[in-house]
Amino acid sequence: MYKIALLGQPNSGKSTLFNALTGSHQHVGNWPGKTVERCEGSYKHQGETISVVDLPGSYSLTADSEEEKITRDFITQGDADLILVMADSSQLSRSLYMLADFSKLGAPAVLILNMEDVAKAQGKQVNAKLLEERLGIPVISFVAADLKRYDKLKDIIHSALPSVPKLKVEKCKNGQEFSWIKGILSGVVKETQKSYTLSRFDRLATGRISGKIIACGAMLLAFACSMIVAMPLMGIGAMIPQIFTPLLQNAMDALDVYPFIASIISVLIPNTIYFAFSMSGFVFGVNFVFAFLEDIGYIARVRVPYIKNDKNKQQMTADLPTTHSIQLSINSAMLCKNK
Amino acid sequence: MKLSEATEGQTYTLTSAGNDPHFTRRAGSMGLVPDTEIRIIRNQAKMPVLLFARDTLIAVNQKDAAGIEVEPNV
Repeated sequence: MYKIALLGQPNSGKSTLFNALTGSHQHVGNWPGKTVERCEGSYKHQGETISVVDLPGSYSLTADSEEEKITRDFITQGDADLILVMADSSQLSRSLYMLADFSKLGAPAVLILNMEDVAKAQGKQVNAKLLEERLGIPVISFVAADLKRYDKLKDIIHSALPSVPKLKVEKCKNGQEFSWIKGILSGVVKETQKSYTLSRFDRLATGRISGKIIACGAMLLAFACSMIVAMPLMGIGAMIPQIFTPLLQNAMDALDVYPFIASIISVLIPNTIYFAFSMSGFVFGVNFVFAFLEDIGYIARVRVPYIKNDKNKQQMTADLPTTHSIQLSINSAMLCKNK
Repeated sequence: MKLSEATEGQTYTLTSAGNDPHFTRRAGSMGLVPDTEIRIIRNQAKMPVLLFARDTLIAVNQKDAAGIEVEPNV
């Protein structure tokens, strides 16, 4: 059985790809002895079962944070037969930083240029074939959210696994990542020069006062929507004591059970189950609504009006990569614009 | 000059990303390295600086921005 791993910066579409490949055949745990989440799953293709590991999202492999150390160790130990390196086609000069860092490790790889649709919408044309010739590994232009493209991807992975493709370019030197990327990308991207400006919504959502007003309104609306999503489960939960309490009370009377015990069984237990149902309905609703807010990019904007100048330097530097909120990608901005 | 003093709408070239190697590495992995072209989208008092670099919109808080040196492009 082959094992592949997904490597990429946050927002490169790794999770979308992982979920689309593995579907319900996945489980979430923790990396041994760590608090970092580990997602592992599998899929079948042409009679083979391929196991997929979703490596933690990090901006580089320089082993500063727990996530980076785990990722780096995983790759250097050769735990996977093939690494799928993800990049954002609309931000190649930045998102290939991961590939630059990866080139220092010499492991077999396939490069996935994700978000081809976003790049096209921005007037960018990426020459994947040229990149493939230059790098010596398969390079695929992809849209992780488009399920129709997965058969082709699985075929490419299937043929890459036995052939063990490795980068044929010179390894990137430490501190030279962006000049390495510049060399790799020379002539690869054709784009119409467009000047970027904040959309009206973005200007309001990240404003010092308007941002906070919008954030409060959005949170209230989000919780209201969560309740709407939760209501069916709450409704079912409410029926439990309505149905079971009278039944159980009759049973307790018939068996002549001690009154205190009888009330525990006929009243307390059904109501406890009802509350558990209601709570899980609410938790489900909140998860659902906030995942949606994250997907449309609003969570990234909500942080900007609240970022403070912290006296604690460590906290500031930790702020930079771990939450997507400090980095607003043009993808999310365009998404809001089109809505 | 400091990034925190940069003017909205202007383009700059980054010359240094601070003295702390940890911060420099973090900023570097997001594309903020010397010779990077930056355009300031917004720079308001007490708010993070919103800048555009390598096709990405990045928010940097004022204190971090004070540690980044830039040169205006003519």
